[in-house]
Amino acid sequence: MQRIATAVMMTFLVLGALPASAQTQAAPAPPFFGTISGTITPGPEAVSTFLRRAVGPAAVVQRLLSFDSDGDDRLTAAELPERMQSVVDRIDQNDDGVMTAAEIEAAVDRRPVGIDTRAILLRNRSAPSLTDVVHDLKLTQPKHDSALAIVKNYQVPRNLNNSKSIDLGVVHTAMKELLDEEEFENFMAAAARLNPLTVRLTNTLERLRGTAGNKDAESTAPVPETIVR
Amino acid sequence: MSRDTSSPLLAIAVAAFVVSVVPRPAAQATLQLPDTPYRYSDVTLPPHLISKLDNTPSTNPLTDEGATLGRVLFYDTRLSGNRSTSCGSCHIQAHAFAEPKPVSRGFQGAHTDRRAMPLVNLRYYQRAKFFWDERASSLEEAVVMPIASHIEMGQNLDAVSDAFARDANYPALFERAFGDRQITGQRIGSALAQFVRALVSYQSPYDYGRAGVQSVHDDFANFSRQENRGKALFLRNCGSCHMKDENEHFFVPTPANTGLRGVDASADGGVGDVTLRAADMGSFKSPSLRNVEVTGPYGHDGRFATLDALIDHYSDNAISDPNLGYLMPVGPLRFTASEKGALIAFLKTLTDRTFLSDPKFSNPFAE
Repeated sequence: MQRIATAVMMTFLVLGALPASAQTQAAPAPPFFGTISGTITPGPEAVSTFLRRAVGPAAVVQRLLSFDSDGDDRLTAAELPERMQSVVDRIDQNDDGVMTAAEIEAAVDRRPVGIDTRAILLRNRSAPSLTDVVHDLKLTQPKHDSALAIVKNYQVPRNLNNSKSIDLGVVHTAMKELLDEEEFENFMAAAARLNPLTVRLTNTLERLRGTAGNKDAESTAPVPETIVR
Repeated sequence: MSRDTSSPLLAIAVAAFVVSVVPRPAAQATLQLPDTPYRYSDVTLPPHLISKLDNTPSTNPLTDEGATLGRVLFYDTRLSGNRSTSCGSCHIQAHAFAEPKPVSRGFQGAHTDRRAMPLVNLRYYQRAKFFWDERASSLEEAVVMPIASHIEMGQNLDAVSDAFARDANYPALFERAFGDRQITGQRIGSALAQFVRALVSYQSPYDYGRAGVQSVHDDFANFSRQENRGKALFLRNCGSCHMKDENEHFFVPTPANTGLRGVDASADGGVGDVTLRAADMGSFKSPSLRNVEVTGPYGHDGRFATLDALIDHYSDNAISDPNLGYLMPVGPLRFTASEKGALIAFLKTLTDRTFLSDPKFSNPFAE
């Protein structure tokens, strides 16, 4: 079960990281939290390009046969680059000096990466709070204190029912007023890099709330259009 | 008339060409070593670099005499088949022992298909696997592979060992390093590995700033605001791989697939080319970021000419590869121009000018 969950999560993250050419071209500017939903939607052409290349054992066979310079669908050691010739002994099981596609496929190591490595990769996206984002800006002390005061009650929601944490409009407006143009741009960019999964949920919730007109007493500040995408 | 004047010019041109392309044997150069060996073995590292990551094997401890011999071997062109090329030809000190080219030219003019890696703090790469594809399982194994390569240096270690036994300097150098005058390919590898393990960079502005704070997350007093901002950005967005577990040698602890392979099935498979492991296709070892300012162009094939281009890869491109194996779920990080400038300013604090010019790592053969 844990493996399935990990695979699903990896797939989600990778889909969120399709080639730039794959992404919607219509959203160049990344407004507050808006860029995430813009990058997570690949176009169909890019998906087909992305999937055209073999993965798994077939990728190893394709890669090695790409050195088949005489085009006979068989590989000799002389056709391989010097640095790869150590693989010959592992592939050529019948010692006839020729490696066939079947022999290459039989030699492919099918083990997935270990749990430790997956853990490293999945930890790669840190999920700092907006407080962390402010600390990273290295503002002058008065600005730093004011910025912390603005964001201290804001948290990236981990729970869709946590309506208390959705007051983005106040943060956006107040920070724009406090910071100079460069600082504000950096603040926006860093905020947009907050954990993409929770940010996506935030955007979805914002959109749902905007449609339903269901604003509770603690979310009364007007939400700028750039937030609701 | 014209023939009369052109002939001497032609002769001069031919002579100049011959002088430029015919390698001068190292035997003509004079070996200059200090009477007392440089100190390679008892370097005092700052506290933030003392760790258990050392890959020095008990069978080949680092000694001053061994690293001295390794230094001589590193710069000796006789380790190539035509006396034209030494390790130092492509691993240049001013570039943190990388070469500022996408690929390197071998002893007979053929080119490698990957670039020369920087040789920085390799002693502290805990996995002790080397080259972009990690095909060498120890530093002792790695250092002799380019010598035997038919592209890079094309030399036979047994033959060169016999030749060195008749040299004016080597028997005494081997005796000081190993206790007797026997010269073997294995000892050449051991000495070279000792010298490469001695190539430790620990005196950058980063290190001086780091010494003054409790935590790497604290602002460094010797950093500008931009550099501290760059450090914060680095720790937030890059550090979980390039500084995992606060490894301040700045290695990525395992090979990584950062989407450099693209969709071409014939593109370099990196670690997968060696292991034949499907999950490894497209994964590459990452060099230490120490001195990264001078180790460009970047990537195994030098595709990123500058640090700007390298950061753009993570900033503007999504990191994609159909192989989910080691793929790093990063990007596009959408750094602003100001953030990119801060990141580069921080990366430049890792430049260790002492390391890049220290005479104990320089070519001991006087021209």
